[in-house]
Amino acid sequence: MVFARVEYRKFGPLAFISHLDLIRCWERIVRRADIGVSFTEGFHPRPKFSFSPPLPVGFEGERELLDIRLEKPRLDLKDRINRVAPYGIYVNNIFFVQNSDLGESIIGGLYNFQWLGDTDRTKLEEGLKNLGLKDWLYSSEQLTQVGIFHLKNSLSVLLLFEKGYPSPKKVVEIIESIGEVIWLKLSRIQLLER
Amino acid sequence: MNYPFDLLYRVKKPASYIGDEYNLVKKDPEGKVKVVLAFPDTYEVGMSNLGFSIIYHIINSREDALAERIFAPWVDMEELLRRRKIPLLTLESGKSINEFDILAFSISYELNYSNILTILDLCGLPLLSSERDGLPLVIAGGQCASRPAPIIPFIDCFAVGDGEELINEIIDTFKEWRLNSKDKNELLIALSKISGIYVPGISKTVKKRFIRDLDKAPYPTKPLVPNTEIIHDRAVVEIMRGCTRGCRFCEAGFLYRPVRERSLDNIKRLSSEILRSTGYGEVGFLSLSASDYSNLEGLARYIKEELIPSYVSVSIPSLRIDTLSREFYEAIGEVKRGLTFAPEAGTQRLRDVINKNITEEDIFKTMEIVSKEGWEAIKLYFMIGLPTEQDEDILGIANLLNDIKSRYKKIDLNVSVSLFVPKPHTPFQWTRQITQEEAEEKIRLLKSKLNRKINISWHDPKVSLLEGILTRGDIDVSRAIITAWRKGVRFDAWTDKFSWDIWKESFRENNIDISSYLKEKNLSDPLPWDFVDTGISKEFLWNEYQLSLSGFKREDCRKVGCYNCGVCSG
Repeated sequence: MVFARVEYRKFGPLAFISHLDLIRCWERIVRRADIGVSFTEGFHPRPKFSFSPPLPVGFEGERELLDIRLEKPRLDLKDRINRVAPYGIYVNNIFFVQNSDLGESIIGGLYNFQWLGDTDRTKLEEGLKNLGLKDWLYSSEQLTQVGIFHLKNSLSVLLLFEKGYPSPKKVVEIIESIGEVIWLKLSRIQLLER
Repeated sequence: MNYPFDLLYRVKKPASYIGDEYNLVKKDPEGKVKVVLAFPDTYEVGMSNLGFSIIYHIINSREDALAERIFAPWVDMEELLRRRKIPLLTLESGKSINEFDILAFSISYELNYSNILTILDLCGLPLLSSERDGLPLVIAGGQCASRPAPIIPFIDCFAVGDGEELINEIIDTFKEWRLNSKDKNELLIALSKISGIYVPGISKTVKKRFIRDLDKAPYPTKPLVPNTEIIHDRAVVEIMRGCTRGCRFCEAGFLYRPVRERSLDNIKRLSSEILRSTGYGEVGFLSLSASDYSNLEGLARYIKEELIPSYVSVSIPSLRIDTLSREFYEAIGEVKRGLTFAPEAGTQRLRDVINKNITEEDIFKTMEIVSKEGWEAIKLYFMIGLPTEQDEDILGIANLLNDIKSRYKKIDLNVSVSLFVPKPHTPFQWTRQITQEEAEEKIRLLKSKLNRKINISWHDPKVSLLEGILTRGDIDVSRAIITAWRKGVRFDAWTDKFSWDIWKESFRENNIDISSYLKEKNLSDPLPWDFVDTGISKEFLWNEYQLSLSGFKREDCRKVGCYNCGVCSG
C-alpha cells in the first residue's frame, strides 16, 4: 500500500470553498490527472483520500496536506496534478508514505489574521486572553493610501486541535468585537506535526 | 475572484461569487462582440441549466465574440453591494455591464421574474426598455420567452425556441449593425427579421425555432467545473430533446417538440470527452422521458461495460421503472435512493383526462419491482386541481396510496403533491386554475384519508397562484412585478423568501384583477401569448382539450402515427 502525501497551497478564490467542496475539487483533480488512484467500492466510487483538518471558509492554507492512496507510486505526480488543478490550488511537494496517519499526526496550526482598522492593542490582548490563548504575535503598521490613513494589523496565533483551544473563527469574532475592520487575508500558514 | 475579500468574507455563500472554475477561458475583449449571460437565480441553479451552458459554449467558441456570466446575488450579497456601491460584476473579468454589448437573460421559470429586475438594477440599468438608450442590448431566451407578456417592458427582444442557431444569428446581426450604425432602433429592426426573434413594438408574431439534428448541434465538451456544489453537480449529456407522450398538462412536452434523439455514438463520444475534461465522477443522461430513447439497451450496455468499470456513476432522470431489466438497475444503482414515479392523478378517469398513460396495473407492477429488488423507498408525484377533478379523484389518490402501503409495508412512500398550474401552449391553456381556498380544502381532504405512515409534502398553494398569474399574465402584470420588486420581493421560487402578501398588495395597487388570469377561457378569447407560434396549431390544442374533457386518451404519436399537431411539418 502506498500513499502520496501532497503538500499544497489553497489560496485566492478557493479560500472561500468549504471542506466538502475541497474534497469534491480534489476528487476531480485526481480523475483529470489520471494517476491511478484507488477507489472506494459501491455505486458512487470515490478516490481514497485523507485530508489535514478542515480550514474554515475564508481561510487560505499555505501548507495543507492530503494523502492519496495509489495503486502504485509514480514520479510525475506533481506535474500531472498541477497541470489540471484549478486556479487556487497549487502543489508544492509530494512524497510517498507507507501509512496515512494525518488524523493523528497533525496536532495544530499556526494561523495568521490581517486586517485594516484602528485596533486597540490592549483590548485585543484582553480578548485573546479570555479565549485562553497564550502564544501569539501581533504587529501593526501605518499605511497611507490616497491620503487616507489605515492601520494594518497582523496577528499570528498558534491553535492546537484539542479541547481548550478555540476555532480560528472565534479569533475573528474577537477582532471584530473591538472595532470595525476590513479583512485583508486569513490563513493557516503552517500545520504542526507531532 | 473579482469582489473584495472583505465583502465575500461577509456573505453566507461566498463560493457562489468567486468564479475561476476549471475550464474557464478568459478572452481578450478587443474587437469582439461582448455578451453577458445572466441567469435570474442563484449560481447553483443557473450553473445547472443546460441551455445556459450550451449558449455560453457557443459564444465562447467564436473567435469574434465572448461570453461572461452573472447570476442573481442572494439577498445578503445584494445588500452589501448596494451599501458599498459596487455594481454586479461578471465572474470572468470582473467588469461591470457598461463594458459589454449584449445582456442576455436565460429565463426558464416565472418565479424568477423579480430577480431580472434585481440584476438590471444592480448593473446600473433602468428597468424599462423604453428608458434605456444604446447598449447593452437586453435580450431574453428560455422557456419563458414563449409567453413573455409580463416581462415585455423590461426586455428589448426575445429569442423563442432552441438557441443553438439563434445566438449565432443574433451575434452576426449585431456585428453587421455595429459596422454601419449606432442607432439602436436599426439594430432592433434588423434583429426582428430573424426567424424566432420577437422585438416588442416591431414584430407582429414570432415562430419558435428548433434545431433538426442534435448530433450536428454544438455541445459543450469542456464545461466549467464549479468550485462549489451546484444543484446538478455532474457531467450532463442530453440524450433526447422533446417528448411525444402527449401528457396534456406538460408544458415541456409541447414546447420542446418535435422529438429529436442523439445517436448512441454521439452520446458515447460526448460522455467520454466531458468526463475526461472535467474529472466528474458521475454522468447524467438528460431527457424528458428517458424510457422512450430508442436505443436504451445500447445505452445500458455502454453504462455497464464502459462507465461503471472506470468508476463513473450514472443518473438517468425520468426513467420509467417498468421498461428495463433488472441488470440495468443493478448497473446504475442510483435507484435505491432516488427512485421516483409520477402517476399524477388518483383515478383512471382523471389520468385519461390528462393523458397520463399509466394504469393502476402499471403502478402495481412498478411496486412489485421495487419490492423484489429490495429498494427501500419510492417518491410518488401527484397533482391536485386538474381539470374535471372531483372529490372522488382526491379520495382516489388516498385509496391508491393506502392500498400500496398496505401491500408493501416495508417500502417508505414519500408523496409530493403540487397544485396544477395551467400552462400556455398546452391543451389546458384555457382551463381554470383552482383558488387557494379550494387547494387547501383538497389537501385537507387528502390528508384526512391518508395512512399516517405515508410521508406527504405539498407545495404552497400561494406560490402556485403567483406562478399561474405570471405564466398566463398579460403586459399589465409587469407593473405589479415592478411594484412588488420595489417592495422587496426576491427569489420567489425559494419558500423562505416568498411573500404572497407583498404580491397581493402590488396587484391591488395596480388595479390588477388576478382572477381574470386564472379563470376559464374560450376558444374565441385572445390569449396574451397568441403571437407566439410554437408550431403546434391552436386548433389542435383546442381539440385535445375537448377530447380530454370526454376522457379520450391519445397514444404516443411516435408509436401509433401522426395526429397533425403541426410541429413536424412546420
